[in-house]
Amino acid sequence: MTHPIEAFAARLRTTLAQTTETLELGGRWPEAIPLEGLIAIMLVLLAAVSVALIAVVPIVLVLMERKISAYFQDRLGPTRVGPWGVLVTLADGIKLLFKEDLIPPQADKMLFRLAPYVVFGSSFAVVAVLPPFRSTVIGNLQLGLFIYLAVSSLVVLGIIMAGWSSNSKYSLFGALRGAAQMVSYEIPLGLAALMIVMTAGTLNMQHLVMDQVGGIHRWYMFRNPFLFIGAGIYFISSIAEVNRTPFDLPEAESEIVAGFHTEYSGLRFAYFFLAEYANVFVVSGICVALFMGGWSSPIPGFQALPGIVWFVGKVLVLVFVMMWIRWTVPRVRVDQLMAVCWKYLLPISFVNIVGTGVVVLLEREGWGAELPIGIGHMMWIAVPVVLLVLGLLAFSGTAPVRPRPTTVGR
Amino acid sequence: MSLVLFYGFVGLALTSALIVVTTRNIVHAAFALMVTLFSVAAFYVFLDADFLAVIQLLVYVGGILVLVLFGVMMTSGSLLVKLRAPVRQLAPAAAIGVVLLGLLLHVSIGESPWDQFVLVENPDGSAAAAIQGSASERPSLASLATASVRPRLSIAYASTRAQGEGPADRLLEQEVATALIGAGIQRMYVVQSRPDTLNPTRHVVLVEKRVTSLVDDHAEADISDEELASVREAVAGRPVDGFAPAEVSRPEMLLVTGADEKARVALIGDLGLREVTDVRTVVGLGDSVMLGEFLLPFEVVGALLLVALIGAAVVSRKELEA
Amino acid sequence: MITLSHFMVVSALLFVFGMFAVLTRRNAIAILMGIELILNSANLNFVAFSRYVVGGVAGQMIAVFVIVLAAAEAAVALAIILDIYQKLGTISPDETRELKG
Repeated sequence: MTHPIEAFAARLRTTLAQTTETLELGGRWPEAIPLEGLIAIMLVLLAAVSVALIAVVPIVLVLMERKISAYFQDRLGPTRVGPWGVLVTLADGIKLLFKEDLIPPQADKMLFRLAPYVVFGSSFAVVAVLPPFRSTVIGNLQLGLFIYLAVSSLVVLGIIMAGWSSNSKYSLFGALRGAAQMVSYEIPLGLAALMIVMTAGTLNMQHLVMDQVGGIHRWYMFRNPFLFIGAGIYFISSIAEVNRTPFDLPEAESEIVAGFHTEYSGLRFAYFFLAEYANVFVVSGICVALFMGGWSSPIPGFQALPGIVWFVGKVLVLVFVMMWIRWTVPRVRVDQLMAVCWKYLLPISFVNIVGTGVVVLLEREGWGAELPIGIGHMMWIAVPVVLLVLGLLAFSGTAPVRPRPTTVGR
Repeated sequence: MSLVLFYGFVGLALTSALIVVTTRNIVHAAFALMVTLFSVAAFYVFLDADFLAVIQLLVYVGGILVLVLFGVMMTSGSLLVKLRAPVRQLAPAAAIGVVLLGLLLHVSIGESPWDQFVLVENPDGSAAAAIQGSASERPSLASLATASVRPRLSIAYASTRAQGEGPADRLLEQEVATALIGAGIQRMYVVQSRPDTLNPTRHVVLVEKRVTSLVDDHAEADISDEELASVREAVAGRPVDGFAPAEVSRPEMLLVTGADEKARVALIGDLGLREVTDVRTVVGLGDSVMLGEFLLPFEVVGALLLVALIGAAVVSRKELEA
Repeated sequence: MITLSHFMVVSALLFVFGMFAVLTRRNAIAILMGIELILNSANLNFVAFSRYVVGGVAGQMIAVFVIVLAAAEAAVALAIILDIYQKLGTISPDETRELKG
């Protein structure tokens, strides 16, 4: 959307003219600056500030991960650099900067050099659709959610590029595993996002969040049980999308060294590393915007805190859950990974989509308008009751399952 | 500026396409194809087809190309085969290519009937630009507002929501209002169209709001009930007792939210306003088009995709008895 | 100013490149890439003509359907190519001539 920016440029120009008049400059010099120039300067400034802000995010997340993993394993974690070791990722970054940049002699040099930029670029580009606070400019793309799905799928190409060009079997295995996994899990992820699109009727992230303003009961996650399951599916798929444990087969260090970035070192490795943590932040941010009310306050009527505090807070909670899972759950096997996606998440997604469609249709037809709570909230009661009845009917004729005697004691 | 960008993408697309055709390494060809497809997505943006550009990225770059790369990796023996054809095959192909290229270029830039369409008024997108006397720039709200024919303009935004009162619509209003203030317009009418039970396309509820009140997080509109009623009647084309029609100005702009296609057209027709739709929004390819006019192809393509899915699975399945 | 002719020239070049790939490549997957180039050039023309001449979104809709068809075609073609590779050990269209008498 360019219009708000143009309007802002016009306003800026007027303000500048007024300022120069009060400064007795005759209001002359702003006229020399064309409107397009102002817009261009603003966009460049905006981009520079955003990149600087976003680059801080992975640094913080890496520190968070190291501290959390330490406490999970009853250690202290980094303590040396800075108070409580807060500067350790900065020191790591400097170390990576000064390391030798090795390119294997057998590698396809051009693709090997290009791959980190593809991964890094597509990971950071999707930050543009995140709505961190209420704004008519930031995150207010008409096709926001769709753009996220499209651009995040470009990461796969970067991973294949890295794996193939390294000319190492570990890299190639990692890349093929990663590509298969990400392409597969994109489907339940997209279907979970589709449920939200069906309910909201828009792809604009700001509009999605606006529709959830007003307290925790307005969050899409709690609108009806199908969307709640959808949120779960989305979260599981997004863990797989960012290649984290328990779905970290593409970079499983005990099997294939470091997967697709085995051969990378120095700054090129740092690009992959940054991209990974930026990805973690972005998928959590999208999940917050889709299912958990984005920047809106969860308490009805409580508006004291600015939106960005709520947004970052919710995102950090989700990131913490991801790290919790990483340091608690063991890695799955390849066949289990594919089974989770194709045999469980996908069919459940289809059922969910039908259920969401029913709720949307009933709400549009005006069902339950006279009830004190909406039809979606009614489903919270109806669906468990139906499941219970179905379960009782299904198991009423069968005998109770006895535990088999074990052979261990013999 | 945009021309420079355009030529940049042209260079990128043609160079990478040339690599696809000439390289000896099939993996290089695949990654060069990625650049070509990406540039084509950029061309779609230049053609105001943002939705299509995103589809191109999602399906082609994120889907088909990954599939092709998988194909390359799984037929690894073919990596050793020479990719280029011998000269006796190259020569006739090159001849055909040159002849075809000449023909196509003659059609494209020679004396062709296409020249007259350079400045054509696009009924959907470029009407506003035509009003400004130039079709080169994409119409923006600010440029619409400063155009000399302002009083007879309307901005018709059709939100995809059924009701026009959702928070999303409010944000939409807010965006437009911000743009209008930048352009120096203070007075705007927000029309929320609801179908009447008797005559669904006619009845219109009008809510008058000052533009400033829209931006200021929806403070109450500073309009008296009488003025509101009179504006409502004036827009509906009926005189009201006690208010001369002259007292009520016609709306400079209309922001229509929550209206379906028929109601919107009827509304614009009633007011005798010109309609300018923003085709760059998702509305252009939203449910009204894909599930309306193009419903049959949509379904056919869906069925075809299913058949292709099953077919591909069956073909690539390893023989069990072998 | 970008005119219709600009897009037509780009599209023509992409088409010729794609056709050249289809005619000369010795690898079935490379031929598939050429077909994708041809489809993209056709799509570009559809959208450009719809933007400059016809108006509306009909051209974009056709392009959407072509993209979907390309996806289906690529899936089936790659499945066939993989099957041929497993049976014959080559995917050169010149060497796969089992049906030739």
